[in-house]
Amino acid sequence: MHIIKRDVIPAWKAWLIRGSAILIAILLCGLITYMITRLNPITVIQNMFTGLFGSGRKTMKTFYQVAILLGVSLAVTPAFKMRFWNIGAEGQVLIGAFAAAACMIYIGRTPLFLSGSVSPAVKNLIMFPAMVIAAVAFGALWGFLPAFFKSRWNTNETLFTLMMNYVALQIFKFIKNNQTVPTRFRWTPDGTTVGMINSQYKNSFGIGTIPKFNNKPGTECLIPIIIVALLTVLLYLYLKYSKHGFEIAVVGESERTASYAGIKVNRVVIRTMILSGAICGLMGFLLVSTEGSINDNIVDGRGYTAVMVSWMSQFNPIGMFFSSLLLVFMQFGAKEVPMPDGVSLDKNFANMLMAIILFFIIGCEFIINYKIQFGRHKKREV
Amino acid sequence: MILEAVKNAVRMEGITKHFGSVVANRDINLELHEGEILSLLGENGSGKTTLMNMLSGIYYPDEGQIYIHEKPVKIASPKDAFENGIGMIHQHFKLVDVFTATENIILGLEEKGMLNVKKAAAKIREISERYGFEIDPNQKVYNMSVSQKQTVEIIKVLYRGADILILDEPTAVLTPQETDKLFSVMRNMKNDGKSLIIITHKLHEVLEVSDRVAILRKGEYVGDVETKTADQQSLTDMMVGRAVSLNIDRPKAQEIKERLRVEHLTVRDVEGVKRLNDVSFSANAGEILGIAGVAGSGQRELLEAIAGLQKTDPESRITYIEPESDEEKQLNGKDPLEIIKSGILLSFVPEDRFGMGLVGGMSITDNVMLRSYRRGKHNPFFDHKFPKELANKIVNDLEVVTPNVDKIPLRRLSGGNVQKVLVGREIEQSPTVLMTAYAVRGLDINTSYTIYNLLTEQKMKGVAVIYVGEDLDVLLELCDRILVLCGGQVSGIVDGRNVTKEQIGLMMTKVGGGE
Repeated sequence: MHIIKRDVIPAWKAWLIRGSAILIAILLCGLITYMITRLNPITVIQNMFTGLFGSGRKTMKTFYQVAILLGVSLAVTPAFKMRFWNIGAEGQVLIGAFAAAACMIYIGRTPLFLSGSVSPAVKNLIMFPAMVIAAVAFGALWGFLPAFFKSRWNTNETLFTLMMNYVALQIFKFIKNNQTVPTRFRWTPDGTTVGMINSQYKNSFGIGTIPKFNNKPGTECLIPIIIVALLTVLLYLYLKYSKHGFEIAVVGESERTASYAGIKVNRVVIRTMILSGAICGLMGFLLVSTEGSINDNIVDGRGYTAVMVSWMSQFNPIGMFFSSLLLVFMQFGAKEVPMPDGVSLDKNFANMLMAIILFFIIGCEFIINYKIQFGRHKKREV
Repeated sequence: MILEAVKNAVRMEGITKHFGSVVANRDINLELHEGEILSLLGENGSGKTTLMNMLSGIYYPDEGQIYIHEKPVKIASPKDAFENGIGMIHQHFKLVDVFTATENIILGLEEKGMLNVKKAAAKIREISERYGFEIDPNQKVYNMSVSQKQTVEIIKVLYRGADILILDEPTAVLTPQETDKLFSVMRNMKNDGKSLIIITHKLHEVLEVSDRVAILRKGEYVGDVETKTADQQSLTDMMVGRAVSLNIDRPKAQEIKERLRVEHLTVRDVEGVKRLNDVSFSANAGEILGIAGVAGSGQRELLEAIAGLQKTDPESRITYIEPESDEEKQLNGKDPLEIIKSGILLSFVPEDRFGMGLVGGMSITDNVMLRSYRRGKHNPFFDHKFPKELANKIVNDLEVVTPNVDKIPLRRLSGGNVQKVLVGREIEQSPTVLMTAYAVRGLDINTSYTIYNLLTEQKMKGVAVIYVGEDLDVLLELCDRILVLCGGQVSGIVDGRNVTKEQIGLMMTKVGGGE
C-alpha cells in the first residue's frame, strides 16, 4: 500500500468528499444513538430541530449561541493564520466577561446609578461604553502578554496562552469568592454565585444588559447576532484585502520572508494578538450583557471549540458560520431530546456524537490531500 | 572477429514514475556496464535524480523492471539497494556532526557481536589506501571540510561493500582542485572493477571523467554517446533538444562609479563565531561583481548584512552612494524597512527562495505584491490591480509557464519558473543595487542564459550588480571583477577578464591564493 500526495483536486470533488464524510458521520451517529438509547434516529433529529428552531424565541437563542461561537472563532483566526498557536481564547473571553461584569457591579453601586432620578437611558449611555472598553481592553491585554513575551524572549505561546486561561479564571474566582476582599468590592455578600447582576438594587438592575424588543423573550439576542454578523464581514475584509491582513499571511507562511520584505515580524505578532484578544473581550462583554449574569462556566469551552471551528473551515468566515452552526446544533440539540425516563440526552452524549462528526470532517482532509494506492505496480506487457 | 560481450552492472527497463499528474520518468531504458563511469546528464528537472533514487530504493517505480548483474530484482527500500551492492552519495550529506568518521561509517550497520571500532578504523584505512582517499578515521565530522565529509560518505558506501556507486552532483560543493582529486579517486574505483554513475550538468566534467554519457530530457531517455565522440556543443544540443549558443556577452559599461562601499564588515552567528571577518570592498555601478568561494564561506551573510538582515559588529561600515547626488548613506544598523524608507532601491535575490525571497503558499501576484503592498500610504487596503499587472508583465517578459497568476500557489510551479518570478520581481523594482545569490541554481540552460543577459542588461543600465555564483566558468565569463571569499575573509579581488579558474580555485581554499 502506498500513500501518495495528490495533485490539485478539483473543488467540486473536494466538496463531494467533505459532503459524503459528513453524511457517513451522521449515519454513524444515528446508528450509535439507536444502539445506546433505542430511540429512532429520525425522531431524535426531529426533536433536536423542534427544540432548537421550534419557535421564534428558540431560533433566536440558537443563533445567539452560533454567534458567540462564531465570534470567538473569528477572534482566534488572525492568530492562527499567523501560525501563532493561541489557545488562550477561553481566558481572553472570560477576562473580558469579568471586566464587563465588574463595570456593571461597581458602577451600578455608585450613588448616581442607585438614585431613581436619573433616567435609565443616561445610565446605559455611561454603562455600555464603560463595559465595552473594559472588556476589550482586558481581552487585548490577555492577548498582548503572550505575544510580547514571545517576541521579546521567545517564550512558547501555546503554554503561555494556556496558563493565561487559568490566571483569568483564578482572578475571577478570587474577586468573586474571597472573604479577604473588602465588603464593598465583593461581588456577592456571601461569596456564592453571582446570579442576576445588581438584582438587589432596584434602580441599577438591568442597566448594562442588552434590552429586549417589545419585551419579547429572545429578542435580546438580536444585537449580539447583528454585531457578530458585522464582525464577520469586517474580519473577512481585514484578512483578505488589508495591508495588515497581507502581513499576517506572510508572517504565517515564512517569518524570514517577512523580514526580507521589510515586515516587522514582532510588531505584526503583537498587533495581531491584541486584535485577537480584543475580539475575545468583546465576546465576553456580549455574553455578560445578554445574560445579565456571570459564572465560572460562562465561556463553557468555546475558546477551545473555536480553535477547531477555525481550522476546520480553513480560516474561511463563511465556513466558520456553518461549522459553528453544526457544533451548536449537536451540543445544544441533544438537550432537547427527551428520554423515556423523563430526562434528556445529556451533553456528554452530544460531545461523543460531535467527536464522531469532527473525526470524519478532519479525517476527510487526508483523503483530499493524499491518495492511497493499493496493490503492487503494474508489470509492463511484453 | 569476436567482440567481448559487455556485461551490464545495471539495466533499467521501461522505468516510469509519476508524481501526481507529472511524469518524472517515462519509459526509460538505461544500462550501466561493469567497470565504467557513466555520466547521467540532463537539465534540472529532467528526472536524473528521480531515476537514481529508484535505483537506490528511495522511490519505487510505477512501471518497469530493474536488473542488477542481469538478475531481475525488486528494490523497495534503501536496504534492498544496499543488499544488491548499490550505494548512493547524495547531494546533502547525512552525517552526525559530533561523531568521528569511523563512527559515522559504521553507524546503522547491524553486525553481529561486539562493536569493534579499531577493526573498523583499520578497514577504513585499507579502503582509503586502495583508492587514494585522504582521511583520518578519528576526525570528528564537525572539523571536516565539505570535501572531507563527502569522502566519508563515499567510504561509507564502499565499507558496506557497494560495487555500484551513484554520485549525485558531487562536484557542486567542491573547488576545482578538490574536483580533480575526486575524479582521480573515481578512476581508481573504476580500475578496481566498480561501476559508477555520476549525475551532473557540468559538461566539462562529463567530458573529463566519464566513459559514456546517457542523456535525459524532460523525463525521457534521449540516448547515450561514447564520451570520446562528444564535445560540449553536441552534448548541450542533445540535452536541450536544439542548438544553443553558449557564449555570454560581456560589454563594458560607459560609466563605472562607486555605488556601495563595504568596510571592515564583521558578522557573527548566534554562537558568536565570525562568519565574515573584516571584509572590505566596493561594488560599482556599471559592473557585475562576482563573488566566488566554497559553499558556506560567508556569501549568504555578506548579502544579508547589506540587505539589513544580519547584525554587524560595531566597526562595520556599509555605505551607499546615491547615484545622482553622491550623497552617502549608512546602511549598517538599518533594517530592511528603514532601507526601503530611506529611498534606497536595493534588490536582493536570496539563495533560499522559499525560505526568504518568496512565499510558497501564495500566488505569483501576492509574491510580486510583497515588494509593493505598501503603496498608498494612508490606505489601509492594498491595491491588487498593480501587482497583478506587474505579475502578468513578468510572466510575459520572462516566459514563466503557469496556468494563472493569482490562484496557483507558487510552490506548485517548477524551480525555473519560481526563480524567474523572483528575479523578475527584483528587477522590476528598478534597483540601483542588485544582489543575486545562486540566481541560476536549478535552472535549465536556456533560462540561465536569459538570467545572465538580464543581469548584463541591468549592469549596462548603471546598476551595481553583485553576483554570487558557484560555477566558476560562468563567473569568469560574466563578471567584471571577482571577489573571492575564503572562510569569511576576502581572499582577493581580481579582474574577471584576466584570471584563470585555477587561480580562483587556489584563492578559494587559501587566503591570498599562495601555495
